[in-house]
Amino acid sequence: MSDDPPTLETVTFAFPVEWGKCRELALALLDPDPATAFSDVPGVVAPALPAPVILPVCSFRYGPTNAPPIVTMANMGLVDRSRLLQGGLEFEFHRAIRSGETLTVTESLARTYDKTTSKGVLRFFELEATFHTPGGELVCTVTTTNIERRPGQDG
Amino acid sequence: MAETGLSAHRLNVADLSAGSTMPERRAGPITQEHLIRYAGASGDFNPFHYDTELVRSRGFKGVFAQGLLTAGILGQTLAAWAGQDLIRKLGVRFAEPVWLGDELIFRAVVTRTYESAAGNARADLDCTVWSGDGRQVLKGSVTLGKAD
Repeated sequence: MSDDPPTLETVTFAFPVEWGKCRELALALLDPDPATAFSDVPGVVAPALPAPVILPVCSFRYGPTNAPPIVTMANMGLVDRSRLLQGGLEFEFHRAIRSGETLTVTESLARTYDKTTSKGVLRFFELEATFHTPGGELVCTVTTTNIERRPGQDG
Repeated sequence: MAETGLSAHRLNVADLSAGSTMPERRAGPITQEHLIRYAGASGDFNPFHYDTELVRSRGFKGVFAQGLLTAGILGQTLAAWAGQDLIRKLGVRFAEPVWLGDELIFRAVVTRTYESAAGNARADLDCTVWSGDGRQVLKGSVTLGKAD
């Protein structure tokens, strides 16, 4: 694997916000208000659900590689997945996302940089995903930071 | 200092002031089943969350939870308290691994209140998630308020 910072082509795809996915993820995230799946009318399912806050990071499942960008990079041999850690994330919402809408996702590698620490060199990857409506309204931006422990820093 | 209940969905951001807190929430203990459910729902099948041999070979004591599982529980806790429509920004940094068996404690406190450019009330909060044994596993921030 080269020491040069890798690059990644920008990808754009459609992201249907599915009711069942919102419900499944909310339950996996121990949503304290699971009744949001049902309307006030007994036996009637709510027509739309608010998407869990972190749902945008799951949009990769609708993309061409069915993998988060950083995993796509690993599959391309650009990073070593077994040495990757999640550094952090930032979400910016212009409004809440709801089931039933379809958004357009644009994923890109915004920035790559190295930091030397007491344990050696760490490589940081900042990946950005933007979510737009078909009409061009920006709904959400997610910036994800992943950290690759460079070889020789195990333990 | 204002205290408001979870699942209110009627939080008025203008009522918050520096020092106001979200009711503390406890979740867990985290089990392998939580990790499996989250993996299936999210698609995060990183082997660090199920392959004990691999993670030990990388210097960890065992498998640990997906960072986004912890962040996601925080997000839903904030949404239940404030209402999803009020979440403008959420940032998280993963400080320590969450191990199987850890109980998680979610806290948020208002650090600043102000008005947006359009005149909507805004509140910035520091968020933290702690393990039951006193380790800070996540540090973050959230901005609440109506969209401009």
